[in-house]
Amino acid sequence: MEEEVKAARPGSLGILSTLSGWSDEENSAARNFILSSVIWLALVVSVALIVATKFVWPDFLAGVAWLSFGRLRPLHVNGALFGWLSMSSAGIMLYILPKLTGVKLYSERLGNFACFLWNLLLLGAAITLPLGYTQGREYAEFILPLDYLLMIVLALLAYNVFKTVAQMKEKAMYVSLWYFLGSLVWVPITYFVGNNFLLDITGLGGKGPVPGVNDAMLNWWYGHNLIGMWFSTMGLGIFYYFLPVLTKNPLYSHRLSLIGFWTLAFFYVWNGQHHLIYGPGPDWLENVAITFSVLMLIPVFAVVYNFFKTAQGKWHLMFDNSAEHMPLKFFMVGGLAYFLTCTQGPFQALKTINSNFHLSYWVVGHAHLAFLATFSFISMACIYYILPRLLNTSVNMRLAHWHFWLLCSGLIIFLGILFAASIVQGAMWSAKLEEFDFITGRTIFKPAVEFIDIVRLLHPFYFTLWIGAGLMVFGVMLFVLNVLLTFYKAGKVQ
Amino acid sequence: MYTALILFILAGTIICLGGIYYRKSIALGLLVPGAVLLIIIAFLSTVVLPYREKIPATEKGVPYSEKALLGRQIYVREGCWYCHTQQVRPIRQDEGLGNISQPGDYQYDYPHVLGTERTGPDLSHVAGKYEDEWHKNHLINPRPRTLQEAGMAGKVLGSVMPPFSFLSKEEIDALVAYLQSLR
Repeated sequence: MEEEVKAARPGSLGILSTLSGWSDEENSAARNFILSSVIWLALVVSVALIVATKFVWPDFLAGVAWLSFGRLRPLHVNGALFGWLSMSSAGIMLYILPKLTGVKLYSERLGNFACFLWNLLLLGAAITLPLGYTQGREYAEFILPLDYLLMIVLALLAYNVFKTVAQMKEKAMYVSLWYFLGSLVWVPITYFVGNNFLLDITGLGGKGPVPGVNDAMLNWWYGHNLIGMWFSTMGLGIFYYFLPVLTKNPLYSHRLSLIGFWTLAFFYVWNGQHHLIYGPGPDWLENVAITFSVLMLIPVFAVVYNFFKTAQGKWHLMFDNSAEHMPLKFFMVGGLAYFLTCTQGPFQALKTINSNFHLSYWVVGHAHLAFLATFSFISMACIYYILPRLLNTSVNMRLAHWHFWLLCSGLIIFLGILFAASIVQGAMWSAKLEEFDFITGRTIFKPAVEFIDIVRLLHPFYFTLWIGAGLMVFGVMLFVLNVLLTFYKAGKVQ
Repeated sequence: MYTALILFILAGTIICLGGIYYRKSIALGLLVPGAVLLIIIAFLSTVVLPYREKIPATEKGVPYSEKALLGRQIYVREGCWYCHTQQVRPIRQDEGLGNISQPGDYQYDYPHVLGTERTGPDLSHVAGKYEDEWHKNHLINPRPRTLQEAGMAGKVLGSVMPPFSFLSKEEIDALVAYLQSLR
């Protein structure tokens, strides 16, 4: 604490001064990453609200090309993933790194430069995606120049982290470090493979370098691994560091975390095809993907068991309203959501369950459970923990509590409605009329419900979804406000 | 191929178990090589091995006309594929949607537009279901906004599709040509 207070040099912490300049102050890179991530979060949730509104009133903002659903959706998804979550994870990692290695970050300037480039890249994405420049593949929508920029940024970040770790005197590494190093090795490979590098520069389509089916496989190998080998592993690295810090209990088992790490590294990368179950791809591949999806229960429960055992006896602190334990609220919800989302995963890969839930809103719910309820909550908890220490000031507790309860209540409505809607969709899709054809002697199944009637049935769901989304966006905006106010306060005091 | 698959899985298992068994492996600097090997093995078996499989040609897998190809680009650009799938699965849920999708159907589809979510109906076999006029009206605004529009072809009450009134006439024509080519 004492050192951190000294490190936060007075007179240089205004919002503008943190963003500008290649500062080599200690922790300045972490600070800039966190500030940028939160600003992108504000954009992402605003887009989310527009998108949710369009489901209830489809003519809302109609006729404006760059505000149409199909162009805002990639902005929401990519903004949330590459803007908010990636940047906040990177910022938190840069804060943790000196604590775990016992040495200073290799280069704060390099970190700040990476942060600047990253913001530049996102600015490019925020302009190009609404203008309709897209590669047209989920999670890989960024056009090629932005892809190159992201690769450079990742390389800079990885170089910085590896150099820092190389300076370590002690060779025993805590599990968080394995996850960080692993992520920074995996993500460039995954990103490179998944983003059409040198394959289709125009993105115009037609007969491509690989047939459509293989393109789908490649896309989902990438899409799934981006989640598994970047967001999950970065999130888990942060999770493993803050679990003992916030609960003030020692980590239950290092052995278990070792098992979790290597099994995750092995199993996760084989799962991609479970996004295309019953699709046109080869059956053997689907079966392999399903097998490995079920095997994912091993790394997941290694983490979850460690979480429950470490947190044992500290659950009541969630309801302790003191400033000290406020981050724990978010953290525990994140841990529980991790348990939920990662238990859902293996089961929804099973063919019988998948046939009912695939292509329905279940998938959307699952994605929000993973990225919002799990990793965003963990990131938010960590930002609430880190900010007062980085900036030598305090966050507004009132806003933080409103943030928590608004976000949680909105989330419960939102997820509940999505999962309920998916059950309706699955049931309606499988409602068939049977007709016996006397000539061929075969039974023909025809949809018993017109598709548009299913859409009409979902209207009340869309409306409730919109209310849930509104509550969440309001809550998140309070978070953004709180963080910005904290930065402002820190700048002003000094 | 199955031999290769089994060998890959075995190799992965050995690396994984080795990492767990030798606790010191990470301290010895084996983390990065192990991690890289594991992801490469998975890439080879789940992306490269299926790529080597032969894809039998189908009637659906034919090149698009120039106009339809232009329409396809608009389909991709406007993100139609976020809400419309183009895959018919061999299960009860998809019965009655048309022929079950074969790998050969997508021979000329790049980037793929299989889709992940069915907010709107599946479009694998939408060609010929409606007149061109229906599609044009539907694309400009899918919902009837006045009483007169209520009886028009292509106006569907309760649809949540976004209006694409911002597309030019040529673009709408191309998009319709693409939709009418999806047999």
